[in-house]
Amino acid sequence: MELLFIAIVILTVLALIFGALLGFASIKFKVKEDPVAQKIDLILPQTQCGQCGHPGCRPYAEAVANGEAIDKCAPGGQATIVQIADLMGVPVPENNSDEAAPVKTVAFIIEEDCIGCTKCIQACPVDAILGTTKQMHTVIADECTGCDLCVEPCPVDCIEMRPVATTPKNWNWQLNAIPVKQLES
Amino acid sequence: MKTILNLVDDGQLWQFHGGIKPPTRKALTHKVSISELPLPQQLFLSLSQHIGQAAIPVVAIGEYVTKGQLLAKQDGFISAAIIAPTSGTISDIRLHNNTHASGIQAATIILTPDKLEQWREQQPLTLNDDKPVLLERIQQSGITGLGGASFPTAVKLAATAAIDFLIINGAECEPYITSDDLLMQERSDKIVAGIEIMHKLLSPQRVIIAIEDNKPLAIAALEQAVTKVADRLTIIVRSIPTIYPAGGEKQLIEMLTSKQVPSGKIPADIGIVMQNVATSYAVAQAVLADIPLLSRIVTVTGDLVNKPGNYEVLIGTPIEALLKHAEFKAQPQQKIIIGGPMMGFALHHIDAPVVKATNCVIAASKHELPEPPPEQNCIRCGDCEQVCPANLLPQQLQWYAKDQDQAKLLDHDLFDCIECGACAFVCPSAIPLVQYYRVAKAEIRQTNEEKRQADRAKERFEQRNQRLERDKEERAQRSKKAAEARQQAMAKTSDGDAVAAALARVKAKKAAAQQTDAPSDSGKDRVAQAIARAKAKKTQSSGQPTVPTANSPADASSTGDAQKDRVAAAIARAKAKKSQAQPEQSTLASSDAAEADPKKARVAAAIARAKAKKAAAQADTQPEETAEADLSVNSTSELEPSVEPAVDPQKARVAAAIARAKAKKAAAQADTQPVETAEADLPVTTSELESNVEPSAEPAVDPQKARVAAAIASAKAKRAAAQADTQPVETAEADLPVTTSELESNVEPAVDPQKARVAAAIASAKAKRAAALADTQPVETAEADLPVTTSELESSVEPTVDPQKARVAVAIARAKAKRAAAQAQMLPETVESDSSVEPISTMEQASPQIPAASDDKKARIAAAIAKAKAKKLAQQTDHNNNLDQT
Repeated sequence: MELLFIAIVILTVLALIFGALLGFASIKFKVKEDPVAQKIDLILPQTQCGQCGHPGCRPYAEAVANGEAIDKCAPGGQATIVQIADLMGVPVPENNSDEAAPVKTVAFIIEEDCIGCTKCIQACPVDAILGTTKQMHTVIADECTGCDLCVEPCPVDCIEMRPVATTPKNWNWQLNAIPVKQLES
Repeated sequence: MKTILNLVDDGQLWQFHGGIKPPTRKALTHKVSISELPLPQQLFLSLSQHIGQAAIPVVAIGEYVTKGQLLAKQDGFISAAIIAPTSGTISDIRLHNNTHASGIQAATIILTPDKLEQWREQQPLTLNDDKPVLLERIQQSGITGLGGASFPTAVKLAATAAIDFLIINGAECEPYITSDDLLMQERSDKIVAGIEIMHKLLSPQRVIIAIEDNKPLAIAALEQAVTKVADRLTIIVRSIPTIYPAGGEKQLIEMLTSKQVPSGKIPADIGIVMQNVATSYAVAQAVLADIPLLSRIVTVTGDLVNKPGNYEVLIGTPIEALLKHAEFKAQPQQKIIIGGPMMGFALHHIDAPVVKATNCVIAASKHELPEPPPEQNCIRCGDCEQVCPANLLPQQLQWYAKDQDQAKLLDHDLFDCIECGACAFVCPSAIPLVQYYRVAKAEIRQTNEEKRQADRAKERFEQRNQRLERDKEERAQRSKKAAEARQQAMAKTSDGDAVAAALARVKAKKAAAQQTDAPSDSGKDRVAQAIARAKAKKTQSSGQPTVPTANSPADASSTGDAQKDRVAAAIARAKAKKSQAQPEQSTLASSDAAEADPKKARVAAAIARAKAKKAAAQADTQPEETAEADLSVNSTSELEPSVEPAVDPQKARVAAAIARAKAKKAAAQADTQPVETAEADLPVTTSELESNVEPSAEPAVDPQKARVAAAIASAKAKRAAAQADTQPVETAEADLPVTTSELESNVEPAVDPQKARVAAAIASAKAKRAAALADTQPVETAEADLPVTTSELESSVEPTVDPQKARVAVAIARAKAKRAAAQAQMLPETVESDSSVEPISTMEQASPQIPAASDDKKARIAAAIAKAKAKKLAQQTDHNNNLDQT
């Protein structure tokens, strides 16, 4: 009987100690952010374009972490999908569209046509458009993510997306690829 | 134990890993002496001929330039200038084919020579000139490394670290190329002169010229040249074994000094600087003859040119012209290789120009340089690893490159690859290994760049979201505050105020009756009446119906006797400008005061007084100005007599106390909610009163206006306080303009804003002038204390309900304060110390009367009058100041 009592006491004390330890650890080492979402966020191209149906890359990363389809990031293309699939341990969804890898573009404002309505400025998710009311606007090309969001609001359709020009700095040495050139007629 | 320096002195050489021995094919040109190329039709000077930022053009199209003139200046640290190689006209600045593996066009200055060779003014330097002067000259001359990488030379020569070795690279290990060889053979003296200059700049412990042993003529020439300067400088001429790529920077360093440049570092980090022989020659030319980098030696070779050899070619000469001069005969699908066959690239467009780095043009037949056989699978023979001079594993890198496994590529130090091509040269499967590495390197750079851009975009996106959130919150808070204010205002008006107003009206009527009954009660009363009458008259003349109200008692009486009134009004105006509004106000005050709980009010009044005392005491703290402080307060209190006969001072005080109590309550409320009022942090006690009282205006009145008013007031108070604080009191007259401008700006909202603004502008200009005048005379008067008075006035007035009226009251009060100030200025001898509390209570009387003040219309008229008077006052003050000065 005494033995049983001792056993109960010891086990109770142990349970209390471990309970306290676990309780402490759960507070002290609490993970605030979803680490998976954070990792996915790092993979996403951060264009903040909203083409996935989420208001920005971070919300989509969180949605993917919670089981949303991984193939909704259009600007990221197949490379991003593969990377996310790798991370999530899911099979890469079949690529039904035969779209080539997305071409990186930047917004370009045809400045003669701009009426200075500031609508594109409000639409830009990364504040890459400069200008003010009734003044011509312009795009800071280095900051533009090519998300297309400014094209729609423009009342005079003076914004177009232009592919990023190849310079010796971003040229990729693909000598075998035949450069396609538009000949002037 | 011998040091490396000793070993180097002993002539020891080390070996780098790997290396190959391709056929050199230098015999085609290595004995053909340098000849000059005739001037081409046009020169194409690309703005990006070097590593780093493209140069910025400083000439315009159509401009005439002289030989040696700067065409484009360097942009930033790692960049180089572009110099006009000959005199002529700038025909265009546009995109033109550039000599680059990508074939991408670059911005190019196109110069049409006039064949006159008109030099700019030349200023040769000597070796004795200072280092910065020499460096600047090298920089201005647009010299870049002429060995192939085109790194700006001045940057390299400005190294601040201690340099052990200056190595002059004459190895020229690539097949075909002999431009350095010929330069060493023919211009060795100049090369040594350049070495002397670089020696002076770097002060290395040893200078070594390294030449491959397949150039005996060059070695002999340089040895001879070195002996000529042996008395000044010891230069080691070292013959090194011919092995490709001995001319690579890191390989040559290892061969000569046994040191290895760590991955990701530059030679200067381990105390070594390397320059090409041609660079040394260019440095000598630039410094000693002031001939900037206009031309370079280019080897034109290959079995398809009839006149292979080395040509001194102006930078910007089209390669087409060069080949034509060398009598080149093209074959179908002809390749023109720029640089050597190992590391060079095929030219896309033959009209691309010679740039600073172009050392060789190879026009070889397919027989001489056959197309590589088709690529086969790697058989893992390991030959490539054997020859890699960078100690890499080319075969592994190839796998990872094909796999696009960037992490593994980086693990295997892809970026240490010098792209020498030795691995591809020995590959039995004819795999273009270097090509894979180049693509992989470009991809990794691209990925890094994308990552950087993504991070930046994310950061900007988050910042933008934060900003939007903040704006939203601010908006919400504003609307919440407005709603609260509305609610409070509603509560107040429905709080039996109607009854109070009615009572007040009755009482005021009674008071008015008394006044009309006994007009000779006091002179001041008459003045009050007169002003009231004048106002009434104005209301009448403006054709607007006079609303019969109790708080304009004089009004009612005046309507009866218009003639008399007019005279009285005129007299009154002339008589007492200073007391214009006060009597009227005070009569009204009494009516309002009657309703208040006397006990409470008295307590509040006591508190208010205590505060006023404190403020006064503060003003007194400056020991020298004690008298003046009292004076200022006193002068304010001089206004008092004009008021007191008209009303019961007791009641007035009670009214003031009520106002204060209300203000405090409001302040307490304001404190509990996070109101963005700057008043809280006002540093000086003089404005304490204000801070206590001002928030009260917010709940009571239209919050928007009130807030604006409060902000203005607090800003002014702050400014006044700061001025009073920081400036020595002797020069504190500067506070005067503040008061004046305050006056004006406060009156503004009451009248036509346009006019008011003009008036304000005029007034402020005047005030400024007054201030300037006042500043010129260093009188130790009471002006320093003016802000105290002003703020006190403000504080007493602001708790009133209607901002419009309140502002009018403020204006009036200020006008008085100003007058008082003027008086104080005029009588600086008057010292009275007893009435430090009085003025505040007097001013406070002004406040309660305003809620009772009849209607907006009248208030506005009153304001207009006040404004006019204030203006006059300002003028008077001006005048006074002038008088004072004289």
